[in-house]
Amino acid sequence: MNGINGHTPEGKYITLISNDGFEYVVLREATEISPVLRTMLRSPFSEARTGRCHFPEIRAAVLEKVAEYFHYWFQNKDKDDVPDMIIPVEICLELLMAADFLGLDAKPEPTDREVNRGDNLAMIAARME
Amino acid sequence: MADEPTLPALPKLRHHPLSEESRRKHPRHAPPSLPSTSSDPAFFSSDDDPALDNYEEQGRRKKRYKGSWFDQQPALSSDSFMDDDPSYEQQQHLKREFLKLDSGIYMSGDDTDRRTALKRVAPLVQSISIREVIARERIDACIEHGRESVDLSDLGLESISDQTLEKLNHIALIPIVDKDVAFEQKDAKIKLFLSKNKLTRFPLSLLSVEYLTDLSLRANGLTEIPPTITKLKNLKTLNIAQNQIRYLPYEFLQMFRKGSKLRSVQIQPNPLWFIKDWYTTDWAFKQRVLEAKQYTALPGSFQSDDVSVRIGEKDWKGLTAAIHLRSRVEFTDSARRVHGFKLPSTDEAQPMSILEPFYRLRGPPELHNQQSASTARVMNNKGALSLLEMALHVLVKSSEADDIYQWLERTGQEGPGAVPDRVLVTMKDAIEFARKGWDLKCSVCGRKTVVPMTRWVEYYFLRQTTVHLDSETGEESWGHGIGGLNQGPQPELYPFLRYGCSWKCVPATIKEPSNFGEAEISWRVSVSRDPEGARRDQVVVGSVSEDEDQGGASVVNDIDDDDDDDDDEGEDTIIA
Repeated sequence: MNGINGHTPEGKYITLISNDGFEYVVLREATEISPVLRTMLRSPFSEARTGRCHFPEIRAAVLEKVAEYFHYWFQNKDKDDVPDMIIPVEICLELLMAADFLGLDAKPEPTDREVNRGDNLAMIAARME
Repeated sequence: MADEPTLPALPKLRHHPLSEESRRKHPRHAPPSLPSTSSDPAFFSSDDDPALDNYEEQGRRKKRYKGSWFDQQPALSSDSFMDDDPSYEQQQHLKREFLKLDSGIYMSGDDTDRRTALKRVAPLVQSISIREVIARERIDACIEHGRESVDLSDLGLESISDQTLEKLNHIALIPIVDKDVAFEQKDAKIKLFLSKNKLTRFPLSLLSVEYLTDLSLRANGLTEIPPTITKLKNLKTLNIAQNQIRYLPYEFLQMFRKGSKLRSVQIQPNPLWFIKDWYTTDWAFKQRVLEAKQYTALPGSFQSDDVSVRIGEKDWKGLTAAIHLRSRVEFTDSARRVHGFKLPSTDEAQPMSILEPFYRLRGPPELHNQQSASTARVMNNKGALSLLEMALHVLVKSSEADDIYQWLERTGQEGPGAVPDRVLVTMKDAIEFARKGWDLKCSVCGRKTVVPMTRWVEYYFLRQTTVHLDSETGEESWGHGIGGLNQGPQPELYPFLRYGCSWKCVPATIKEPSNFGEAEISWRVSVSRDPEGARRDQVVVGSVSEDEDQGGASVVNDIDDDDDDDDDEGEDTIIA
C-alpha cells in the first residue's frame, strides 16, 4: 500500500507536520528514540499507514528543532564528546514541552508487562477495524 | 556622471571631538555663524550627487545622517551635537532609554550618547548591609596592615557579596625591611574566620581566594559544601562544624590525596546522615577496617601524602580516608522520576538504613530491558543528551530561568497550553542545581550533567594518622590522633554523596565478597580512571596482605532494610 508522498509502512522516511502546516521529513530510524512516535508508527492507525504524523500542539519552529534533534541523536549514537546542539533560548520552553510530549527524556524502557499491555491494545484496535 | 548608479548616501560627517569640547566650554569665543566648509571631503567623486545637501549652507546647522551607509536617515535634532536647543534636556527625560546594542566597533559618527552612558552605570552599585560594611572595613584594615588573619566572626552576616570576598585577594604581607635581612617575597597565608554568622550558602567566591589556608565556617546554617571546594589548593585547616550539613561532596575526598595540603578537618557536630544500627550490625568488614593498617587497603582509600614519601622519613602524619560502607544507589531518569530506592531527604535527619555490600549492586527493575533505543541514554554515558536535558540546560543557563519558573508556577497550571507538572518538577530541580553555582560533574566519568541520574552515599573513615617508622627494625607503628575528628554518634565515619550522569555511572563492584583487603580486588569503573590512585593502592595492599587477613572469610550481611519492599520482588538486577 502506498501512502501519500510515496511513504509505505516500511518506508525509509516519515513526515512530521506542525500545527501551522510545515512538514519535516526525517529518517524513520532516527525517530526510534521517541517512544511516542514509535508506538504511533506501529499502531494500526493512519500514521502508520501513511507515515505522516500530525502534531497539532507543536508549531513549526519547535518541530524543526525536534526534527533536527532526531538526526543529531541518530548521528551521535554511541559517540563520545558529542558537540552540543544549538537551541535558542526563545523556544526552549516549548521545546521542553515537546520533548516531554514525545517522550524524549532519558528514561528506561517500561517493563515487559507494560509492553505487553501496549501490544494488547494494538491488537484490540486492529480487531475493531 | 548622471548615468552612474547612485550610491545610497555619503558616509556620515566626521567631527573632531576636540573642537566640540572647546566650543562647549567657550561658547562665546566661537564665531557666531561659521559657514560649514570644514567638512570632510567626499570619498568618491560619485558621492557628491546624493549628498549635496550636506554642503548646503545653513548657518551652523548641518543636515546630518545617521545609520550605516546603506540605511541612512536624517539625524534627529536631539542627536545633533551642535544643537543648543533648550528643549534638549526635556527630550532626554521624555525619551525612554533603550540600551543600544553595542557592535563592539567604535564609529565616530555612531551617536552613542555619552551623556546617558554615564547615567546607566550608577544603578549597578549594589546596596550592602551594614553588617557587610563592617566586614569590608575589617578586610580593608587587614589589607592596610598586611595582617593575614581576617576575623569576620559573629557579625550576623546572612550573605556575603562577591565584591567583599574579592578583597581578600589583595591581602599581601608587608616584607620585613631591616638590616641584614634579605628581602623575601612571601605569599600570604590567609586565615578567614566566618564563624558564628548566619550564612546558609557556602560563599562561592571564597573559592577564588588562592592563598586561603585556614577557613572556619563554624556555627552557620550551611547545608552543603560545594564540590568545587577542591579549588582551595592551599587549604590546611577547615572547620565546618555546627552547621546543617547532611553529607559532604565526594570531590572533597580529593583533598585527602597526594599533594593536598589539608591537615585538619573539623566536621562534627553536624546532622550528618548517620547509619542506623551501626553498633549492632556485625560486619566483619567494619572490624577489619578499624585496623589501622588496612586503611589504605580498601577500594577508594586515600591518604594525603604518597606512601612512598614516608619510607625515607621517620614519621608520617596526615589525613587518611578509607571507604567503609555504601548506600544503595538512587536511580533517576532525566525527567526526575525516581526508580526504586530513594535517598532520604535533606530536610529531616533520617538514618541511612539502606546499605549494600560492595560486591553487589541493585538496580531498579526497569534495568531488564536495556537494549532499546530510548534506554540508550539512561544506560549509556555516550551519545547525545536527551532533548529534554538539552532544553533544560539552555533554560537554566539563561538569565530568565527563575522568572520563567515563577511565572509558570503562577499561570502554567491551567489553560490549553498548560505545562505538565512533571515538567515543572524537572525544571525546579534543574534550576535548583544551577542556582548552587556548581558545575555539576559526574563523579564516575567526569562528564558535565544538568541533573544527575544516579546518586548514592559512600561512608568513609576520615582520620588523622601518624605513622612512626622504627629506623632499626624497619617496623611501622600506626597511631591515630584525635584532632577533632572523633566526635558525634559515629566517630570518624562520614557520608559522601556521589553523582552519576547515567545509569551506567554507578559504584564499582567488587567481585570477591570474601576477600576485601586483598590484592585481587577488581573494580569496574571508578578506580581505573585514576592511575595514580590505583598504583598507590597496590603498594599498600601488598604490604598489608602478609600478616593480616586471617579472617578472610568475612561474610557481609545483607542488611537491606525492609522499608523498600516495593522493588524487592526478586527483580533486583545485579550489574556485574
